[in-house]
Amino acid sequence: MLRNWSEFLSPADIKDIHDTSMRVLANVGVCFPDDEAIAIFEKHGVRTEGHTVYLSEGRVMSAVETAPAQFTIHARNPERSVTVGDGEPVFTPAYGAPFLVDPDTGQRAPTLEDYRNLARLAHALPNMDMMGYLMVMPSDVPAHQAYLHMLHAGMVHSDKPFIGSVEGKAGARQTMEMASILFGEDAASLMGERAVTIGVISSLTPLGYSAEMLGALMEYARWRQPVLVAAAAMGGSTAPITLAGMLAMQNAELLAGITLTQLINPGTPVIYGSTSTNTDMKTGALAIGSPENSLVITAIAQIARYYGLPSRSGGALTDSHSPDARSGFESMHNLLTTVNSGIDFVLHAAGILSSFLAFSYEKFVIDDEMCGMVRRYRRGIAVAPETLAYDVIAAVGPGGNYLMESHTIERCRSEFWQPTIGDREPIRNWMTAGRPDEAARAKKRWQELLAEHQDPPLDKTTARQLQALVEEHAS
Amino acid sequence: MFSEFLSPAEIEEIHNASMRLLAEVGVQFPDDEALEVFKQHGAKTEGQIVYLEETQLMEALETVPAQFTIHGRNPDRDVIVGGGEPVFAPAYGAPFLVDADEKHPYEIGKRAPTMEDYDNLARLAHALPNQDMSGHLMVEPGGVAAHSAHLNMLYSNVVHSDKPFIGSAEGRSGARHTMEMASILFGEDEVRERPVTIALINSLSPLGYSGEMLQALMEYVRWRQPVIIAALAMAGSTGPITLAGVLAMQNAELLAGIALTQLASPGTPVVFGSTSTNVDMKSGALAIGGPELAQMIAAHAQCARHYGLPSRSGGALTDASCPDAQAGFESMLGLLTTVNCGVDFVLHAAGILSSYLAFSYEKFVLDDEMCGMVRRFRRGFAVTPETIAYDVIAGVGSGGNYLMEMHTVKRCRTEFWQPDVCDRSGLEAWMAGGQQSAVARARQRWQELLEEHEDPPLDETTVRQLQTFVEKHSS
Repeated sequence: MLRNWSEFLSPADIKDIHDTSMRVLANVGVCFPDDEAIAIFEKHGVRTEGHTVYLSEGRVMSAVETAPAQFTIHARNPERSVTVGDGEPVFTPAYGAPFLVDPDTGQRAPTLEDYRNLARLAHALPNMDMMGYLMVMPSDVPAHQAYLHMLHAGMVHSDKPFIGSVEGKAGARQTMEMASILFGEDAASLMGERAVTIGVISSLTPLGYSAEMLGALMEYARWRQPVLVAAAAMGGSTAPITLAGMLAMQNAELLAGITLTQLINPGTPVIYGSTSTNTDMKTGALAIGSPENSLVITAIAQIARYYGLPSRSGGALTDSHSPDARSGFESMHNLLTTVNSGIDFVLHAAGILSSFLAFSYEKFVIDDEMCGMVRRYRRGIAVAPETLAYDVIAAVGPGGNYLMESHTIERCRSEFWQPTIGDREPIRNWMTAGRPDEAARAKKRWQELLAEHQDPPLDKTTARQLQALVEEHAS
Repeated sequence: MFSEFLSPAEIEEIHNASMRLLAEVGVQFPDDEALEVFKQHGAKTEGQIVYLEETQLMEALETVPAQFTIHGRNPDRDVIVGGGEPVFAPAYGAPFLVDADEKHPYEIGKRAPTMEDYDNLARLAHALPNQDMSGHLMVEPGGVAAHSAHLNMLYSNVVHSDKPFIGSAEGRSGARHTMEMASILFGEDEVRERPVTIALINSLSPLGYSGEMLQALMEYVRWRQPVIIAALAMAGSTGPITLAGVLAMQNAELLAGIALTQLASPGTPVVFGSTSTNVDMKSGALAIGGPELAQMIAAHAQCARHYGLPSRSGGALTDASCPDAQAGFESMLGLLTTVNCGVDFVLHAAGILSSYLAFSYEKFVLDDEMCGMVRRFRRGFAVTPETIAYDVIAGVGSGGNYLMEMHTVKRCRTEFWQPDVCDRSGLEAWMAGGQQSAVARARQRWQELLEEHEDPPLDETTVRQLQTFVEKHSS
């Protein structure tokens, strides 16, 4: 196992960042444009001015203490339940892409059928621990109903635990109603008992939240369902151009959001999250494939550890618009850093292109393989008498060969990681095979996976009830 | 701080196994001169097998310099090995070229490299900002006599670049020719005083060396010029299938080779090297893009630190035969791990494909970009009052923007890493521009670099003497 995390901040650095955030919270405040949220803060003696909330260090730190260091998200198939914060990263698909990029047409608008395909693939891909949500935005259903279809697809095509809707209070409530049907429990028994989903709440940098996100945050907190509170700051634009300033500033808004969850329902699981990065100063665009993005990932892990909270950041992130060499190296730089830093929860672990704007079927498959690789890397090298194998080395001696040793034969099928689509053929074989590239192999693979896919069994009554709920609200 | 897997106890176990191997099994040195050196220092020998006791070995290692400088003909280009910054050098030893076809930028083939290719690669090694040295044997050029190709290559490196160059390891004559050409370039006195090159000496796993490599080693040691002594063990074939066993075995052979250099000429700079990895059990070919090699890089660097030796390992390594997504992500797994683990000298930092068998112009350029990226990442970021920028955060407040702040404007040109090759314009611009891939951009870039290249000035007498030397020894 990795014995240490990639860390760049000293304990003094982290303290400076924390102290600055406390100053910001006490003197500058965070904007919560929702009367209910303001009322909750006021009820707990927090100073407010209009929709601006000012928090003391004491108030924030006691909230941080009530949030758990680790929690489980339950799946309808208990074998698929995931634990967040136990030292193993949880990988989930890309989130929020408005477009698809495919090798034939380039950029195109996703359909609901695409969404369903991606849900099937998320189920089939071995390294995806959860079903995504909003993997793409389906363009052929009315926008205000899309969330129902997406939730439905996630619940029906897979028995992995799913991510919930954050389309306001209604999106969160509908998620829990569908979860109640899926788990065969009534609402009351689910509330506060078991975590069955997680909502990804984005802050509105700098130093605020949108009303819609607050509605979802509060509803999930009422149900005591996990909330991932995440900042997506653009250094130089919505945040200071300096990484330290960006971290200090967003830390304030994240802690404020986390505090709200704990005031509503102490012990609600939360994840401390960020996908903040630099703005490219030439183009004005977000740069998620940058080394600065990777540095932020390491910092988020460190800061979350400081507060004893699970962290979310990173993923297979790239600014490339197709699954080419650059998409490979940028995605790996970020994904490896994510794992090396000890990040607990990884949205965008597979599938994203174009600085979050596009999803790719091919990249979904390629990135999933990368997830398997970095997981394997992290496990390290076993050192024991059987692996040191002194007697075998002595017997083979100088100039000998190990191929026919029983020590080798016993292990040759299991010892090493095997790629599913990666090419390891000698160059002549590659030439004879027509010089295939990784994207072409990935395309073949997702087509195979879709052809083989079978929805995990779901009893007919539950399926009918879910269907009925979607139809009722989608009319 | 460096990524580490092995505990101090595990390193001790590996070390103890290596010491037992050196004392009881021995290492083969098929060279009379080398055997004589060992005998003179009291080592037990049996035929060509040399046995070392732990005390003998550890005493010999004491004279290895922790750090040394390789001087270029331009002092601004000197490189420090073991000084805390990795030295990046181009790929080494590829018999083939894989290049993008004229008419179809993403249509790739394999062809035999020519001396013109070698000259181009030497010019590119000069132009690429992150390559610290001019390589040697970047490809094996056809069209020149095999026995004297090293002379043509050395000439090319010296004339097209003023970066320090790597020397030939083709036996005693390869080493001697390197030193004689270096003497023309620097003057013999200078060459006897200071390191002006470095050569790659491979061990012959398991537990031995070839006569040719030993001859080259002894010649460089005579001149007190640095050598990298490196193992390329194939787990399951020329090393145990278990990686801990590979480490124990190769450390024995490498340390014996290093001891030889110090016994022959105490204080000769040496680098402790490894690119050992697993054989892919399906294809039977070397797997250099997998998680196992990344683990070996980490473990080898830790072993080097344990012995107080500068290390060589890693690089932008891939099994892919073209510069696609697999090439990108495998190379980044290798390269980022290399720098995260504190490796001092990085051969194959740019250019390699196909498990060491092929060089690619496009990959040369893309990998150099990666080198810049990982360097920037490793530098971390500053946490100071100016970077935390509390007053700026307070001034902008909730919902504001940082673009027009002085704090931003002052830093916007310098704060963030800028790619040379990768394009950050958006999805629409990419679609409008014909969906250009990273390989196509890389191709444009190396063509630009070659057009702009000018050989750094070298006085005509020296050039003539070098040419005469090459002609004389080529016949």
